[in-house]
Amino acid sequence: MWTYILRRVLIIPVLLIGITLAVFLLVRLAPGDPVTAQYGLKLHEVDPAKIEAVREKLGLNDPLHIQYIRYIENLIHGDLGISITSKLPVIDEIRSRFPATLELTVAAMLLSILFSIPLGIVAGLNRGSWIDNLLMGGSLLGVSVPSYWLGIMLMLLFGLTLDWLPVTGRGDGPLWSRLDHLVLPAVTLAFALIGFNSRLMRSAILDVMSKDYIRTARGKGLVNKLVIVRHMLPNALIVLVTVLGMQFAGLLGGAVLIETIFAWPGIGRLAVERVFRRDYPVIMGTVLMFAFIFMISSLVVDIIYSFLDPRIRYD
Amino acid sequence: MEKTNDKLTVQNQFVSPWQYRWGLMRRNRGAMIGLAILVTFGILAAAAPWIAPFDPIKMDLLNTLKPPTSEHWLGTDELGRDALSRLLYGARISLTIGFVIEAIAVTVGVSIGAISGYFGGKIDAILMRLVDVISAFPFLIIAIAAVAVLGPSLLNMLLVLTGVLWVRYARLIRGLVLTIKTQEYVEAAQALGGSHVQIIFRHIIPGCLGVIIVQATFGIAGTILTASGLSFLGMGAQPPTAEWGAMLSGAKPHLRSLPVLSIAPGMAIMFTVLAINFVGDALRDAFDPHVLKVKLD
Repeated sequence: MWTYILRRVLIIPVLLIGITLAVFLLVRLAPGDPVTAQYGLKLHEVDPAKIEAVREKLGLNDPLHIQYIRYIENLIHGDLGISITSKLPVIDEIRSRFPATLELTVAAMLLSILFSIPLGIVAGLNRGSWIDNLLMGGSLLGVSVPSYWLGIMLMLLFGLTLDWLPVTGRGDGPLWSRLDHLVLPAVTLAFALIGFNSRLMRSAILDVMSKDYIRTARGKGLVNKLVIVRHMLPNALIVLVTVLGMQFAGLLGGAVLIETIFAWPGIGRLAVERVFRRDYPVIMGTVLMFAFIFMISSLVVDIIYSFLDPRIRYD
Repeated sequence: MEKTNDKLTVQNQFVSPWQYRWGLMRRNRGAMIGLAILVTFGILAAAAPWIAPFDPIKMDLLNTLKPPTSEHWLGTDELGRDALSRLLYGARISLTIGFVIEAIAVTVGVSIGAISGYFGGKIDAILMRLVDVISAFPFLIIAIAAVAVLGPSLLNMLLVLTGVLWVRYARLIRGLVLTIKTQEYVEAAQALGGSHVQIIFRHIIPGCLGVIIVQATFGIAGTILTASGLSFLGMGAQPPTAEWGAMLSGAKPHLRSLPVLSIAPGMAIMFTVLAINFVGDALRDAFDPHVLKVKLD
């Protein structure tokens, strides 16, 4: 097992170089450099000699590999550059937006776990029955609805028509006092996940159901409930645990659309806002941060998985 | 009923695996409804220039944001354009985008995955690290960043999405090829002196076809969702193009006064994606190798 984990960890530097290089090159490919972006439309009024001087000072005239090494040095010191629009350090902008995204993601994750496990179990245990068909049809609907449209429809129903819940923003004060703001975005984000995970849970249950140890458990006269809770559930959950880890990381980045619709002040919305202003340092900072979280989560998931399912270690 | 490896005789009548799978598909009510919806949408999209009551991009500033009437069935948008006509034309963009992106992604991904898995060694190591790096980025975020750099347009979105999506197929096919290439029929082909290209395309890829078809079907559904989402954010189809996601973002400010403008395009996306997913679900059952054991009567 340790060789598996070691091998898994050893890929990390390769990935880090790949990720940073991709982001670095993407910024360099972008039309206009930080200097021209600073001046924007006023570029023509500025003395070219002055622009050249700024470029020289920022090291933009150095060869690419020197620039890349400098970029990495800055990254190691936590310096992601300065935002072109807000003039604030990118790292501070991200730090101030991160809690909102985390809050939304955790809420959606919890909702999805709460609903998909029982739904998947019920569907799996009643395979082929009307309730299975109903639940699986529903879950297919869940993964087919465009999340941003669902958000708008929920907004229309619960916000504008019934006036039960606020439709924009995150609210003020401690979490418990602004839970009402969290409901609609979290439900919207969780919807597709519930659809996906309940299908997954169902097939995991079906898989486990045909195993010998379940037959043994039944054969020795265990009550049905105990067979399900003690023997089926732990084994079926392994599948879900590994997926949940990756979903969490994916969701942090996938919340972009939901954050935009509900004006939720998270990182995804930050990135979208800045795209149209060509604020590259902020966009690339968010990309880098998400990639980093993504990478760490997949590492953690793989390690947990190798503990949960010993078979994988010999692969 | 007699069963050999991939041939099956039912009532003394020869049934090819494809006929057999089609037989299974036909029995699946969801798949048939899905297929019917898709065919209908496809026809409506193709016939849009003839059946759309109005020009989808012609503005009528005297008749903006009108509720549905007998003339404008779904009302008019903020620029007085007929919503129904835009919906019909939008089907062309959404369906085409979904199929084209997925077709390119499948072609590139399958080729690279097959090469990687078949040859192994250094080629495999390099290609798979590339796959690792691309899949290390959350999908939507890297798409947004790349669109930011290239500039928002339908073509750039297509480039970016294919650039990211192929890795899924590459990884999947590589894994399959690793198992298939040790099979006896591949060894036999090698022993007979078949060239690498011949072996990959004649013997290995056909073995992955079922998986590819099923994955690509779900892929099209996912891509239609993503592409319309990016257009909703303003990073795909640009005004005045009629596209479902873009229509939704134009309609959102008028949600309270004219909800039909928001409801219609979303329904169109949902039914398209749902229909494709139903078909995908049935395809997965039809291509499940265990399924050939099921009795067809």
